[in-house]
Amino acid sequence: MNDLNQQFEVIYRDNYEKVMRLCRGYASGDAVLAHDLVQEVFVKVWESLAKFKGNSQVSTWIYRIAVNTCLMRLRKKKRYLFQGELQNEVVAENEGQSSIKEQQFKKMYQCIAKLSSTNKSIILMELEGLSQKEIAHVMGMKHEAIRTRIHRIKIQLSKCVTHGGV
Amino acid sequence: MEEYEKIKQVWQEQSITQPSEQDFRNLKDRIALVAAKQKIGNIVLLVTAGILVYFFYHIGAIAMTKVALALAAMIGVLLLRVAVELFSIHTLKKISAALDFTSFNSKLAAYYKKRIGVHFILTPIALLIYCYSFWTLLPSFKMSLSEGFYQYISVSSLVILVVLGILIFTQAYKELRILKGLKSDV
Repeated sequence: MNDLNQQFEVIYRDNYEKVMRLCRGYASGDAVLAHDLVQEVFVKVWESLAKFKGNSQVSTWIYRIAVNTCLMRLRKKKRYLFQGELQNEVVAENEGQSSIKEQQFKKMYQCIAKLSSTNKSIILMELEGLSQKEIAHVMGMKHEAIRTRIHRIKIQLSKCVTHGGV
Repeated sequence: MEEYEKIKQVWQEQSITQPSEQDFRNLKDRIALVAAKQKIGNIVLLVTAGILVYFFYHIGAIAMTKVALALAAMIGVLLLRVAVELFSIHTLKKISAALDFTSFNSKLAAYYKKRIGVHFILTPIALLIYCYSFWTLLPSFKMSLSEGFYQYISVSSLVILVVLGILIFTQAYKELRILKGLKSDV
């Protein structure tokens, strides 16, 4: 196995979880679609790996690829999943858990799906715990603009989860 | 903000299974498949171009000026359209997914704007040249082919034209929708 292959496998294993969570957010919880998106993201990671110069953190680089790839793929889909549609498979992997938990997941995905794609990308990374500075790097926006947006999206999302409307 | 903290907690409680060895092997297979598809696509296009050129010489079109011109125009616009398509695919692939979201979106929007130009200007012109050339060939076909085969060529060419038209329209509509989506992503 050469260096690039080894490096790729390490990146894949280290970042799989966060990429999967992000993709699930874009896929409104659809586990099958999210799995497919994750594969597509890592295909792009492989294609870009040789050109990665380390100018940014690996995680920023991965998030850029993940955000761009997921949005690109979903734009090509005939029916945009960003319209608040939720798939039946949403909580398939959480079937063993209580129905309250399932409802929470369902509501959360539904509310995220109602956001614009830019706001969705920002909040998905915020939920993942990325710093505002890092989100600004991924989005190519000013730190101040991200801060304002995050504040607004948090209120929107909280309202939606509590009262059911964005 | 208390509600948001609860949402964040729910988000982080999602259980994600670690990828298995098989998952990684499947990913490597997909990477290999993507590369193979590109190679196969290029081979198919090269073979098609080869067949067209062979057909051109085989029927002796070079000796019949009018037929040669019409056939050359048909083959020419077909090859031009294929070349534009290949160039577009190459351009799209060159847009790095590792760019920040804003730069990636503006590059994609510029790409799709050019594509709309291809769909609404270049493609109709190419189709018109193709149809006109085919129409000028019909008398030669009628003279040199059997009645049955001539009917077959006439009808099938119409069917192909309709199918091609639907395909082009669908693709243009899809790309317009993507461009609209990109513009609204703010």
